[in-house]
Amino acid sequence: MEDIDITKFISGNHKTYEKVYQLLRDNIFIYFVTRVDNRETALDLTAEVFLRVYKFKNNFENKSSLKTWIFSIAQHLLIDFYRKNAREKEIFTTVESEILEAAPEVQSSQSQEDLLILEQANSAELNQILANLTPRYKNFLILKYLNNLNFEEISDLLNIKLETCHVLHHRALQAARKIISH
Amino acid sequence: MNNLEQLKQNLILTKAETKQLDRKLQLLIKKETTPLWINFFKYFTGSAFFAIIIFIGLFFGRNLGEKSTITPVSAAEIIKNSISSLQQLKDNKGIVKMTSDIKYKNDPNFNFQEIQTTEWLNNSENKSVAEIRITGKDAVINQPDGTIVTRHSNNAIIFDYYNGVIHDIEQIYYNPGEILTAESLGKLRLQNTTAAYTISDYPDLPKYNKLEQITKFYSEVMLPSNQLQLVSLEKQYQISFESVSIVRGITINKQFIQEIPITYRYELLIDKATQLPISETINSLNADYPDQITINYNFETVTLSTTEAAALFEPVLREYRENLTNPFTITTGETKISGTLSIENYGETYYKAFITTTSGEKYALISNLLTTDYLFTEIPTLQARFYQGKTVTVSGKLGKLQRAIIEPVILVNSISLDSKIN
Repeated sequence: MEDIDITKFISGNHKTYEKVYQLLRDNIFIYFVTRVDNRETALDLTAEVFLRVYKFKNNFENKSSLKTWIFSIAQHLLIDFYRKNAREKEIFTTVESEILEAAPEVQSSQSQEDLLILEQANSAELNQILANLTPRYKNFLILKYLNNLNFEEISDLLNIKLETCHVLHHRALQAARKIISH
Repeated sequence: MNNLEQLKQNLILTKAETKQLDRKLQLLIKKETTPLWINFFKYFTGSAFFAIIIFIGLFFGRNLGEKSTITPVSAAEIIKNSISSLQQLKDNKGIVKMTSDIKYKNDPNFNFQEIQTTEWLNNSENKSVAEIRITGKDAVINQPDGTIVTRHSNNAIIFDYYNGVIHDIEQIYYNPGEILTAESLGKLRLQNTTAAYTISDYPDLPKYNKLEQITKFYSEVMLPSNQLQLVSLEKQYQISFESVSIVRGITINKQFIQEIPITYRYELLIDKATQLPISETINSLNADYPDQITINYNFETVTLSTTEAAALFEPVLREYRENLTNPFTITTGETKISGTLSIENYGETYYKAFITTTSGEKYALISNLLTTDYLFTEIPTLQARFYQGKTVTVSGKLGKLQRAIIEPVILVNSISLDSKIN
């Protein structure tokens, strides 16, 4: 994404748009397919995201990264989708104060250890983790490990502080470890 | 690859899904970028207007039935003739752009408003296909991988080149969403139609002033199956060929007149120094019709290419053919008319070309065009557009020439050059 010429993108350059589309197509699809019932719906939502990107490219203000901006469009679409289908929207309502209040000091070495568990889990265990994690933690881990967003991007997307982001990461991995160990 | 990566791989789009997504997005964007009034128009044409057409069709069913018996002009032939210079455009630019107004003769509900060739799609077999983008009611979408997908309806025209030579231009039918590849065109091409088209605009006609371009044009594009002769004279080159031209069956007062073959010799003289065409001569080799028509160009006021020259050549020849089926008094003698050429639109179906002399006399270059035959006569008229406003000189034997340039030629029995059109 780094080599995308933002000026060209905003000005409606088709090649740039196509490049962005090709770079993020799979990522956005994964974002949806892990959150909705079937792949067909995920496909529709993905197309809708890129339609909105096409329509509203002029609105991109370069305050966040282009990737984050596109993911935020996906997030809003998902909220709309949930609203229409009366699904939970807990995953997007992160209460920072609550998280930080109860936050232990996050050791990066500890997170690394937890991450190893996630990486070494077999597919059955991974499915178990994704099925049993709370929506908030599940959302975080998907953004981090399946959508490959970095902490800054997740922080921008979820509109939470970077610090909160690290805490969420730590807790999500801990929760994953617990699920496996049980 | 760890299981996390494996999970990711399982989740990403499959190839089929990727194609589906690409197509879906293209349609959404296309829909989004189409103005509302066009959508409204589409709706209107698709419902109320269509109902009116059906009503008219039922009401005048018998007439429509008669029309369908008319031998239609091949769409391929018409388009091929009028845009045969695409090859040159391809050679020169690599990318061809052309807009045309194509109307489906017997179906007013069918109207290609714009045709634009955008890319030459090459495949591994050295076969290239020009994509025609059709806007308006139908649309063709060019896929990044070189395939073509229909958007709404079931019509597309493919200009197919093979080894640099136009060898097929067809209208093909296929279902919305069906993917066409360069390879699959061969199969679909068989489904040619008998539809007739008229092209009323062709702004990008290239110039062919150079000898090699002219010879190439005639030998490879215009007359691939005819023997072309090139003779070097003292100060001129002479390009000539003989060809059998068929007077197409036309319908006058519901009486069908059969086709008549005429052998004629065509000569084009090109100045060696300037490499510009000087004159064209058409000589009928039929014993019964030995007349000669020569067209000279006034290069002080206009530079005419061979393609442009055809605009004079074709109407005259056509009149010649038509006169064969409509005998009337022939006068003799040499004459010459020089003046500014103009094109005027007569209704939706045809155009006429006129020469206006400096004294204000106006002569029709093309006679009243028959409805059933207008497609045949449309092309030269359109070609004539390229030198409209220029001064041209037409000369030849009076008998044939006057029938070519004075209106109306078919309906009157004797004509003199004093006839004027106001």
